[in-house]
Amino acid sequence: MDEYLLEVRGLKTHFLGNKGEIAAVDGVDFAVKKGETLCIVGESGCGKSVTSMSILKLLPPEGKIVEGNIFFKGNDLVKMSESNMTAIRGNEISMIFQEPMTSLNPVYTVGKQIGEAIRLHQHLDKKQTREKVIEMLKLVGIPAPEKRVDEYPHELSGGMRQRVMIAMALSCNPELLIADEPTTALDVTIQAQILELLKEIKNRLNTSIIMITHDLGVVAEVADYVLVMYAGEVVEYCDVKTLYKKPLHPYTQGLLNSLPKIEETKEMLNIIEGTVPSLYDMPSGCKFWPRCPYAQDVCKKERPKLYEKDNHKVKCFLYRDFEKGEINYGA
Amino acid sequence: MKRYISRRILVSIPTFFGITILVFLVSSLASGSPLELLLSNQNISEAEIKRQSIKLGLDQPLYIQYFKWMGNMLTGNLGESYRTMQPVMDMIINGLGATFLLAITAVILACLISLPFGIQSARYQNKAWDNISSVFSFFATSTPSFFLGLVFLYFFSVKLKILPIGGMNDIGQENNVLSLLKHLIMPAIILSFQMVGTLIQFIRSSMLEVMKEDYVRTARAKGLKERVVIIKHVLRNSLIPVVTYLGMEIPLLLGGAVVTEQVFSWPGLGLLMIKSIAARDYPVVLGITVLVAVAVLVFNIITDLIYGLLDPRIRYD
Ligand SMILES: Nc1ncnc2c1ncn2[C@@H]1O[C@H](COP(=O)(O)OP(=O)(O)O)[C@@H](O)[C@H]1O
Ligand SMILES: [Mg+2]
Repeated sequence: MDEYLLEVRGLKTHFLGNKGEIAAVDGVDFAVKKGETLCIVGESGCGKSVTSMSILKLLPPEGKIVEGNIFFKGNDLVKMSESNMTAIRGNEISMIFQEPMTSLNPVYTVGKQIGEAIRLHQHLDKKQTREKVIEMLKLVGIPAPEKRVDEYPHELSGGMRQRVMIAMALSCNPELLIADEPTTALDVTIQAQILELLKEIKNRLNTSIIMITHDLGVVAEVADYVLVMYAGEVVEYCDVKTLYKKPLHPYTQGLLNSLPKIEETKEMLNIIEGTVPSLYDMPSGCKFWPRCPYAQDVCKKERPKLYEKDNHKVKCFLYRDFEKGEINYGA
Repeated sequence: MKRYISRRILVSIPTFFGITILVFLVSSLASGSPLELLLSNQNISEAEIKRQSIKLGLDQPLYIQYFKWMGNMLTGNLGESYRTMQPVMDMIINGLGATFLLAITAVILACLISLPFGIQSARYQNKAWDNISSVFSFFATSTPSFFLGLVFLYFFSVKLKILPIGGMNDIGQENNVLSLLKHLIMPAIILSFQMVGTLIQFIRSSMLEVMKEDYVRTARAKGLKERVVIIKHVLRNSLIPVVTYLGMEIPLLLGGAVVTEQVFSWPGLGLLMIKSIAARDYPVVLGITVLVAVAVLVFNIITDLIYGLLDPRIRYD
């Protein structure tokens, strides 16, 4: 039987700002199986980080999950008490953040910071913890781990710090690893190394991964499934091969076309025009219509549903006949 | 580290001399020399005044007076008090003990009171706790200590009669610790009160700033309990402004808490300072001022060393 490790259903996360309430995540569904990698892609500000923060319930005070369920191994995290959440965080679900330069506490050694999670969840003593920390540093490819363990974050480069973050996240053998743009802040060669490391770890430990990125190049490398988000909603959701072969949503097509291809000249580079609308000022109907080359009257008036065929979900009126079996592949 | 400290001390030496020159000049320019007090007495003859002036060295040029004073000071001699004729050094050392005890107790009390208030108001920003401690810290900062001191005296000493009205010891009980504590408690609370208000605000705003840091989110994502996150990751990183404030405040307290010591007749440097100023007893006033200057220099160095303990990114080389 195909049990999902994580199943997110109808998640809505709102922020109560001084300009009113905004729906940063506005009804998101997805699921991850054991050992699978799901990539969440979309332009900056579309709610990727808020989605991942919602899963661990690490939202800032002004953010709130207002609707939906997050089932992890059958238990709904949305309803779970804070003390039960602390037993899951860092232990069964752990997270890597975008900013390796600021995600480590400057006043503690990396050994102490990694060890903190190990001591907390695995109840090891001081000496065993230190050994385990060194082992983890070795696992993520940090040279001279016996020496690095006593160094402070400022003594390490960005790439090394991100490896430390990964070591910390993996130290308690989590079943789910959420990586929020883990390579965005790093330069290209380091980026490739970190991705390679994550792939290797996934194969070795069979960890499920949710990888958040706005880089479709990264998606092609690591994903099994892809969730495309736009303005807090899922606009397309399918497996990675299908996405590259047959992208359905005009937004996804735009994202893929904006990827530089070797044979294309610069002028042909197709970038989606316009920007993500402000969450305070959402267009009526489909949120993408002002930027959509195929926008029809219906798009401006009604919200499209998530139409599905063969496990390929897309939120666009072009595909409203999916259920009837008539497919019109947009472009 | 050692090199850093010795370098800092070396740099402090010219500053020290600069301060002494300034203090000496200002005091000699101040209107009203001790001779004027004598002059206002009709029964004293010109000759007597002249004799006194020669005896005190006041007839010599200013720079000679300064070098004499400085030279004596370097050998530990601050001169004699015009008022009591005792060596100034002895008077200062006597007062310093009382002042030090009062200051340290007040600083410890202030930290003990303001830490929980500051932490809670950062943790529950804009909730009941925060509002209570804002109001509290507002009153603590804005109530003059002489007023609060008198209110305390009225209640605890006059009405309830549970605490002594002033001084440091009961007569004949100089070694009784309980009696000392009874005398100490009110002035220490009053003195800490001024600091408490400021400290609460410093701790609160500093913690709120740190709470936005990415590494605090990392700490939460590890599964640490909120209490641990707050103490180990937030508070620890919020201490620098607190240390800065205390590093500036403590040397000033060592110069004597003038108002508090006077209200409670606490026999410290503050009380000595007031009496000496009133009597134009310049050797004592100068001595205390120089002591404060030295304390400021010393605490500057101590503060810098504590920064290094708090933040490993700070290096001394
Ligand atoms: N603390 C916050 N207060 C108010 N709005 C927020 C906050 N954090 C995020 N948002 C809003 O939520 C939306 C989604 O943000 P985010 O998930 O960080 O985007 P991204 O996809 O780039 O990770 C953004 O429009 C942002 O303005
Ligand atoms: Mg983000």
